[in-house]
Amino acid sequence: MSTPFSSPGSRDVNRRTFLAWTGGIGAAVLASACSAPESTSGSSNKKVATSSKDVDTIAWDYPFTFLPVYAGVARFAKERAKEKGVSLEQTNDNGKPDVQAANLDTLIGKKVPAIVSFPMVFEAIEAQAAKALSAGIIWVTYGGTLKNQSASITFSFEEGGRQLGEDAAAWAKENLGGKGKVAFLVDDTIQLGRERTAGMIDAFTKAAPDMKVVGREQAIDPDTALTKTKAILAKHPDVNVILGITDGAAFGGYKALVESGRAEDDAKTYVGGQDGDLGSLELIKKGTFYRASAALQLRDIGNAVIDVPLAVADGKSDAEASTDVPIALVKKGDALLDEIISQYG
Amino acid sequence: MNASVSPRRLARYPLIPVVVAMAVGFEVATGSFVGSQNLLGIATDSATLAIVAIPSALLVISGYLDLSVGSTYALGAVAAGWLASEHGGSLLTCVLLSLLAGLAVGAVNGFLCCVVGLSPFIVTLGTLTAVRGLAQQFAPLPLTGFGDSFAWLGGAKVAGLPSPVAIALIVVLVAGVVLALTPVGRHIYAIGVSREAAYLSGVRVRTVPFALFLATGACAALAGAIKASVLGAVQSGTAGTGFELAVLTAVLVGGVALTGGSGTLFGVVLGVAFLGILQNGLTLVGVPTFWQQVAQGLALVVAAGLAYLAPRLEALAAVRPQPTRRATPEPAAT
Amino acid sequence: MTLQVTGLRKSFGGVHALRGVDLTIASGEVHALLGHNGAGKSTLIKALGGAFTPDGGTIEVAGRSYSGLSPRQSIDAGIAIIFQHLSLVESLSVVDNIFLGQEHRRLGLVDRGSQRAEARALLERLGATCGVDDRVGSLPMGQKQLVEIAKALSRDPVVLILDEPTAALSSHEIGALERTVRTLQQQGLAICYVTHLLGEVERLADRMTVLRDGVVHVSTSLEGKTRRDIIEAIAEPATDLPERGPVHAADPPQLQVTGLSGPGIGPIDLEVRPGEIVGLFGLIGSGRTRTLEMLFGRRPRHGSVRVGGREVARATPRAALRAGLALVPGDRAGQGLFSSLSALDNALLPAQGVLSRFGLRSGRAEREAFASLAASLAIHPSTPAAPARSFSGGNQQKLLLGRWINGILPTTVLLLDEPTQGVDVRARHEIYRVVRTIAGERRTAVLFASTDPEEIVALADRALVVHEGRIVGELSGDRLDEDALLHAVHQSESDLQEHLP
Repeated sequence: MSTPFSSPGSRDVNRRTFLAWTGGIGAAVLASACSAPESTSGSSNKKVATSSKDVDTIAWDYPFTFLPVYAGVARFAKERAKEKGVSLEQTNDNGKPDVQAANLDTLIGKKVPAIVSFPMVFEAIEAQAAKALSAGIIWVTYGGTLKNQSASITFSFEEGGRQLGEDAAAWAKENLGGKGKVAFLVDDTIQLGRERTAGMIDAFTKAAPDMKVVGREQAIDPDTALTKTKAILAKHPDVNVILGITDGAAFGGYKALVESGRAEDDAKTYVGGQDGDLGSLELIKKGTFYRASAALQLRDIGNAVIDVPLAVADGKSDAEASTDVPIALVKKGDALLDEIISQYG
Repeated sequence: MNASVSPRRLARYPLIPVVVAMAVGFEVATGSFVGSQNLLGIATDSATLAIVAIPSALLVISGYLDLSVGSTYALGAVAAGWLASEHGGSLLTCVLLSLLAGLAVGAVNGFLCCVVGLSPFIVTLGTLTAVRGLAQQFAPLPLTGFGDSFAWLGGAKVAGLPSPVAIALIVVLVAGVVLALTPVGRHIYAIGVSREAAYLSGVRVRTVPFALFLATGACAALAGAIKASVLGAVQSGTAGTGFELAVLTAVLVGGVALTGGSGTLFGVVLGVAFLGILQNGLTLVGVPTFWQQVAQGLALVVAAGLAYLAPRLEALAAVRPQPTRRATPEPAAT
Repeated sequence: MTLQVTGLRKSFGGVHALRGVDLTIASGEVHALLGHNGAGKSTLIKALGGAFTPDGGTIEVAGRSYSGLSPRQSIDAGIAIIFQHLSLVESLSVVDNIFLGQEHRRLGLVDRGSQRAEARALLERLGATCGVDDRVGSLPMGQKQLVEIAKALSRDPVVLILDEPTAALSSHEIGALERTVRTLQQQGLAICYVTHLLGEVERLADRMTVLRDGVVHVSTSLEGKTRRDIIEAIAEPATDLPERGPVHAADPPQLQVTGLSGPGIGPIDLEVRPGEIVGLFGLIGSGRTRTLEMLFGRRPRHGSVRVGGREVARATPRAALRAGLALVPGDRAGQGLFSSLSALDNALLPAQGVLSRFGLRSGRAEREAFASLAASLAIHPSTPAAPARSFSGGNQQKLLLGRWINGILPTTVLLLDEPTQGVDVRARHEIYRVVRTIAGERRTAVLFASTDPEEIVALADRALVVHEGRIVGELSGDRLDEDALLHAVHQSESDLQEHLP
């Protein structure tokens, strides 16, 4: 009671150290999060893993845990891990390259038998991949390839974007005579985003050169996309095509159009996204103007996260073990549409 | 002082000319800024920000701070969205569950900051991280398919206004009455100016900010639920990320001092409008992504500069209309 | 002349603190600066220290003339001021404190060796017994003060100003300080010594200047002057305070305290009857403020506090206020005032709940209450919306007083800590008048604490002498005068020293 509350002075100090703490807390939370499920046996890690018996744990380092697709893939990866009798460790990088680097160092330091990592910045992770390999750890690159790796799991993001762009352009030719307005919801901040963006915009503008581009806005989530699309619609209420870098973004664009009074099945409107989020797939199935999604196949990717490192452990080479998981554009009536929807359970 | 836009009022709220200038500038540049459709769109988009910025402002005025609102927003959205999509919850039950989630976060923040006396920066930074994790753990996949009852929350018209705007107006009104017309309103300022003096004056220096933490938590969760209803979807990982900074920006740009004890709700509403118009206008003009970011940053600095100038301008404005208010002439004052 | 102040003027928001003050101090002279609270002593010292720019007049130091000083210029000109509240960093060592901000440098690094050597020489010159590496926070008050003086001397001053330097010292330390002052005087410093203890004036000073209401009332050599002469020079014309109200011994006490104790305090028993004004007199650090804060529930306590016969069970300000016990704290800026809030909010904050209807504040009732308060307390300016920080010290204090005696709250016991600290002469009299009036007319029991013996004599019906957290003496009626009060504290001081092993 003698000091029932902190003095104004100490509060000021706390405010000044605020920034310093931001990083600290994040790191502490992460550190405790990734050491929790540790259950590796020490002896088998010392030599280079050569058989699947040695790989009892796979660390999956996926930095974009906030994306819906993560939860979907994670479910299948966990199921597959159970089937194969290995335990799956996951990191939480919070979408930050420096946190990812620190988490990888931790994983390498404690010698997990296998790491599947999705590098946020590919060049930056090369050294760590080399370090992991020389420590006898199986290194699988996810979402691309590195010079130092045991194998890779790849998808062509550029290809997914291209398929969406071409489909939308073909639709515009058929339904609008190639003339109309298009807006893109893009991501310029990370490599994956830039690849998808480039594929989507290049393919569309090449195949439909007379469509007028009236917007190119940064948005990966529905909330931001809704706000941005509304602003675009204020100036161009007659936008015909909105293509999203993610299904989340395209979903926000779809909402903005509906809110502006567009009928859900308007024949002169096309919205398309990428990833294959459940909400978007259901809109496609329902027959709305949300017409296509370049869908990742969650089960295939989830399986690959477990299967590829185990294949390497069984002695397969990079070329033999590596997998390219196809990205398929799904539209109303496709059998794949129902298949992916069912994958969400 | 009687005129609605006196020089003194302009000096006190330098954001007024800024907001007007921005509106005029965007209208000239695009020709489609000032239209009831676009303005209503800005209001609807800004409503959730206002709903959280208003109670947050009260908290800052009382000398505290809640950085966890971005995650509480996500938790509120997830709670309502989960009930609506998985259990077909009605509007009422969804909103109640969402408010309950927000109150729970507010209670944790309030207990640690007001009763235990920990630094609100550290505590709410902690809950910011933890509550986000909770929301993602609870609903890792996007939630959709909410049903018509819940859709009313974000999509209905109340007295001709979109429901988010109507709810924001109610929040502004309630907070305005509390702040300006009740004894507790004075206590909020008093605690922010000097907690010790307020304590010695018999003010409930723990209960009042605790209640404000509860209100902030509840409003953040409600805002999340409203946005979930508007969108018809919730992504627990992205909903409301960075929202706490937008809230803090609106509060500070609106003239509330981070040191507590000063600020007005009118200023905060202006701050919200400033951010909403800026975001809308830059998109409308079609400024490229990263230049938008640069412009937003610069606009904030300009607003901060104006906030710095405000008391000085106010002092000037106070002198000019009343040139005869000098006290007895002092011999050779200069 | 080393220091020559001519025609110095300064006013704060219409209150004239200095109206043409002259002060001349020669090298090797100890010059006593005297006057009551609010006479202008602090303002004069702060002007010399560069706390603000005077409205007029000149300050001449060692032959150079200034119309105003910045804090930096003041130091460079050779003025050193030792305030009552020392400017030392408790967590640093003696040597680091002495050279803080003016470190000796060698090749860009702090030259610790030469600093320590100079610090040792300075401390020796002052007769200090502390070591250069001692942590300042661990030193007794007298040594801290010498460190502060050493810090001042390291800047080679020509004028040394001591602001009530003995107020917080033990009698043993006072003797040591007086010897130090004489040494420095012999070394040629011009010394300005602010005090209201006449014994010190007699023992130390060559000349004295008495300020009254912002002007020089008397400035004279002390050669051949008796204590009688000094008292006459300082004494103010009698003021027309309201008569002391009758205190009936038969009345049950309004405030009854038994066995009050806490860290470093007590056990204390005391009673204040309705309409009685009791003064708690003691030196800085004697426990006056802590005693009042314990009574009010600001600090944890043991023992019983009864107001109007009913026990105040919980030791919190809210419980005290509900029982009718209110405190006007001594630290006005830190504990009392809401500086950026309006005068009305400051005076009526706790009363706004009572004045409100259906949970909403009543603007009209509040304005009326403020107007009547402003009139009865002579608050100037009487604008309810002006922020409290724009008021003079005296009027700020009246706002704080008004917070509890506005007639809306049921205050039956009023605790005042240093009620006239930092207020001007007129406000001081008005505060005395108000306190007398509420005691006389409303029968409020008043318990106030002060380090100023004059204030105790002027205001109290009865005085309790506090030393080391206990009440060591009681004076009332004809026996209550300044000499008796000072005798009582210093007596207990030497008693204690005799008991030390």
